[in-house]
Amino acid sequence: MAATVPVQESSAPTTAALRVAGLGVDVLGPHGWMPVVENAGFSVSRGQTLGIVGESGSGKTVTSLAIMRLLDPRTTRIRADRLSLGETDLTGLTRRQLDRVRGSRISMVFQEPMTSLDPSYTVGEQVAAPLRRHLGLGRKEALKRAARMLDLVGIAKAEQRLGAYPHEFSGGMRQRVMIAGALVCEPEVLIADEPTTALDVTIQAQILDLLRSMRDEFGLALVIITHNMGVVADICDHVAVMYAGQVVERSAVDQLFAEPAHPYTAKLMRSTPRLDDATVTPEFVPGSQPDMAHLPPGCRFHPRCTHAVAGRCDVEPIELVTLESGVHTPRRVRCVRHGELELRSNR
Amino acid sequence: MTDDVLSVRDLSVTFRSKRMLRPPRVVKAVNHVSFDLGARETLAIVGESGSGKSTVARAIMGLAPTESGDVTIMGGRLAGRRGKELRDLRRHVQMVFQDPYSSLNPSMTILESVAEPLDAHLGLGKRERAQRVGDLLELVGLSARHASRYPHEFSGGQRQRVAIARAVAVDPGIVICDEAVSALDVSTQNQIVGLLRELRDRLGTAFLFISHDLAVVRHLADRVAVMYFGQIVEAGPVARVFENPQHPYTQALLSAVPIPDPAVQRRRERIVLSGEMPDVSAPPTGCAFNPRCQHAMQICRVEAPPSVELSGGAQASCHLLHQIETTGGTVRA
Repeated sequence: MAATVPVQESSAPTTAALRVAGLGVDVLGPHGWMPVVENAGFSVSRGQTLGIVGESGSGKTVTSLAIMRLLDPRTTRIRADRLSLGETDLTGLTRRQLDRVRGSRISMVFQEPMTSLDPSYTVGEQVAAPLRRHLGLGRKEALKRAARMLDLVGIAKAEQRLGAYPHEFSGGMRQRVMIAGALVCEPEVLIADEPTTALDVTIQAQILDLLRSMRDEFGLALVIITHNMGVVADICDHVAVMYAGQVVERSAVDQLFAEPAHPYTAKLMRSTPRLDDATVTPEFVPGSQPDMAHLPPGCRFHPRCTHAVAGRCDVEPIELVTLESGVHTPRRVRCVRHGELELRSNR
Repeated sequence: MTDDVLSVRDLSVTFRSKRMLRPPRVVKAVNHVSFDLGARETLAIVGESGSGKSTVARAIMGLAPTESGDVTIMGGRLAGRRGKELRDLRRHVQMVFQDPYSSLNPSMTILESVAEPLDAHLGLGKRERAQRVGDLLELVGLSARHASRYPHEFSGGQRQRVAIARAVAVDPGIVICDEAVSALDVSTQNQIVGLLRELRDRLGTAFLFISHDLAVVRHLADRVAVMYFGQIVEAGPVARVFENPQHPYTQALLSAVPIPDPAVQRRRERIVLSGEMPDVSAPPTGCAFNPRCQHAMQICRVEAPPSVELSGGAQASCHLLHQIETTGGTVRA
């Protein structure tokens, strides 16, 4: 486990490896364009982990696919005030320029290590592919480097396993292979979408350790998309909580858990069962996330919120506002009643 | 123990797959597993994929090839029964599966789905049948009006409620939940867990709760059995096992579950297991956990460990505990 060094706050905002502001995604549905992500924003610096948290349908995965520009332009539209990778503005890139960035400067790993590896290519070829494509390495040289990468992610006897096929690997090993392929060009940013959800807990712990060591040793900026609050507590420095297509709260991880600022965050915490404490029964939020085609007026969470006040929460869309709070990076919350409420988390 | 609604003794399940030229491939999925389930009790079987926990459930339901062992349901032995006798006994055990999207027939109305077990076992008249289905739907937090609808009109959580209504329709003493809340969002998960608790209190149902989610188990189960590689390595009251695990695998498993509290999680001592569960076709000799165990001794590689009774009603199978016990160590204190 990493030592309890205080989190280095990104004092100089220019160090952000990935910066997203005003990101919106619309999806073409049977009744025309429908917004599924609205005005999302966050940033992550090298050596840090940002968690994007939410339940299914919150828009967290679409957000990550939009950053990677992996959404089909025929059925989705993306807009953003800012989408930058270091000094590079991703919004202005052509397809070809994007292809040069993806897999080399920013990479992604997905939940299903079985379906995201091609069963008919060897592991070595797949890990080496980005090297050949982006760095123009020859086959031999690329495979050599792929073996070093596989070794780095903990595949034993990596050189001898270059010729193995994905089906010869277990789920955990496949996820290591995926990570090797994503990191082989030494990107600045890695986006991991539910990277451990399909894995057993002991394997999850191994993969989280691997991501942590890659982040710490090589200054990787890590974005983890997850619904698991335990994973958030384990590896994230900063968190963006999403609900119904919006970021409802952004905080440093300790603050988020100690004193959640949004009622939804607090409810999410209190509904997460703790392994180490059976005295508090996990709660549930009645109802479900709104259908994006029929959003409630005002705060999107207000129909399920126990703190909702008629006339304030159900009228105008709620803005994400910055809270004043001392030493940490600014907290942001999308709740008109912030500051009035004393919200309890899960302890 | 006459109180037990389900008793499993020395259950072993072996899968044999025929091969054209070579001898059959033999996989021992469950290896001498024993446990009892009392009335109104919730026993969780936890373990990682490949541990054999689902196979245990399937064997009880008669859906897996039992090689040896005894299953007793409501005092009646399953072995040797056929036809109506077997059906009558089976009525007492019903099952809820993980995926409510595939466990309900999409072309049947909710009424038809929930009435199916009623028709198989009770044979009610038409009005009585509709009345009973309505009552069952109300019982699981749905409405009798939902009876004429189809599964696609419901959310995942609602479908799981229907599956539960179907499972308790014939008033079974035992319901086996195989990862019944694993596919659901945390909020829905808590609602279903709450429903199971309510059913236990109102109907006196005993649950065999198969799950890989240890935090959920902590909040729901009375007792827990931890499986590894087809065997129960540790079992006991849930608080006892979770707060003071004795088997090295249980310790590692619990320490791998991240606590949703960064301050606590950072301070935690973790045991990171190397490697993965052994290949079923090449089981290790001695204790199945020895290749990954940080405490493995010479004897662990040779001899299977005996089951040791621990304080607080728990037991574990580990040479280390056996040694401490026989040399008067302090583990039992």
